[in-house]
Amino acid sequence: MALSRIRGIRISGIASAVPDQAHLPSEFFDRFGKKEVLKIVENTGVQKRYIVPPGMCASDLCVAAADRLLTEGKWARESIDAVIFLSQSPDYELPFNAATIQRRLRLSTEGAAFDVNLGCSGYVYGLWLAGSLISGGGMRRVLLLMGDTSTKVSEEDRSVALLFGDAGTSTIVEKTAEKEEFTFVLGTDGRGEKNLIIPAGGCRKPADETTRVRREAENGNRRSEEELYMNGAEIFAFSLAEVPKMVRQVLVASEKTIETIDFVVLHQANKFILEYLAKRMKIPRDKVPISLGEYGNTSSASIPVTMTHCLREQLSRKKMNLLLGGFGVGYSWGAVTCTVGEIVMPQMIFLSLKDIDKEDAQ
Amino acid sequence: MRIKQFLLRIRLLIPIRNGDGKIKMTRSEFISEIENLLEIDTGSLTGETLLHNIERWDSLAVVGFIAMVDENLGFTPSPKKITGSETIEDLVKIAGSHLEG
Repeated sequence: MALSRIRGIRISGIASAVPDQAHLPSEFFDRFGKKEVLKIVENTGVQKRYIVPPGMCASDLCVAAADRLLTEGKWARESIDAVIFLSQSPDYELPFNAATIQRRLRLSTEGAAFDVNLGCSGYVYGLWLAGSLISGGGMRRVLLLMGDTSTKVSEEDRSVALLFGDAGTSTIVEKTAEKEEFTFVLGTDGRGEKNLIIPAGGCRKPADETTRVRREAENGNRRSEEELYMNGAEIFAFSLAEVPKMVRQVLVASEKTIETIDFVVLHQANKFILEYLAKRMKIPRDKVPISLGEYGNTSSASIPVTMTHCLREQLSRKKMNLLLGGFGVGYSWGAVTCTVGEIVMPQMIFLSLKDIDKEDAQ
Repeated sequence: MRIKQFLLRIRLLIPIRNGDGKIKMTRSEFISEIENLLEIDTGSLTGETLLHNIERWDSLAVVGFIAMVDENLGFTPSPKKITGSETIEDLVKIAGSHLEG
């Protein structure tokens, strides 16, 4: 376990955006049968998700969220010292997305910009990274953008087809005189790499005519090697092994208890996992907000999406003790205890394709 | 301050126990938990029952089985061993010494 303590930083604003196109499980009745679909939905809890139309990317959702946040919070664009884009679905193979985003948001050319490739653990890693740039790197204000689209998911693979939703988020982390500590624990176990993977399309296995062909896989599912494979049982076993441990570690390290924490915001993996973990860790169910019924599993965006959807009114008004925890692809996991509140928090943004300036985006 | 840090380190090193770790089950209780999980009649499964003959034994059931073992027996079974199992008896073997009698 890596333990990291950061003081003198605060989260000042969070905005989240989803595409305006809602998708319902009933769209899969014909493909998998109504009974099977309802069984999956009962387990995952995903009643609805928002999915990008062709032509909309994770970066578009993040730019929309950042635009709204900077405007509502009245932050001068040239005051952003660094922009971090954390995603697994960038616009291009290269260049990295943060450069395009710097241009689109009209941020200062005097700032730093870079991408990070992480998934479900990403929000905690992103806060840690932004906080580190401020506490140890002399920066004052960091714009942390995070989001994913599930465009590389086979609709013929029931283990993933009904689970993922698309979202993009924006968080401002800045220097403050406040002394509350952000206490982080972070972990990685690359032995889990094969259990959540898109095997082809990178440099290890370049895309070719064979990798894009969908083939019969386990349980009658069909997918190509350029599409996401998820081994649900392995991911669940990993979550059981690491999540209670990291939550306990971060509570001990920050000298807090579940009783003194107002909300435990976990990555929205699926309802069964979330409810089982909460029960297992003896966290009262009303302290674990769940947004995936409405948005699905939104990967790296799921923690800020849940904060926007479930805690917006409270976080805008008062300070609260939060424990945020992400876990998944890698395997990678991280948890942080922090005080967040009285922050700028716009309502959920529903982005339409016509709202995107095509010329500006490309 | 040093003592405090030392105590913190000790607390971080103590492994956590899975579940409550208290409950012990018999073999027949274990099999009826599997029946519960699969929502099938009590007494319908025997050690020889082939998993691929059970309609409800699917990937969601595997996840449910992991949770059931974790909750009742206090350990996380290996997903590979579960998916490699052919009969109910193979699942009983996974629980192994965690079962009574």
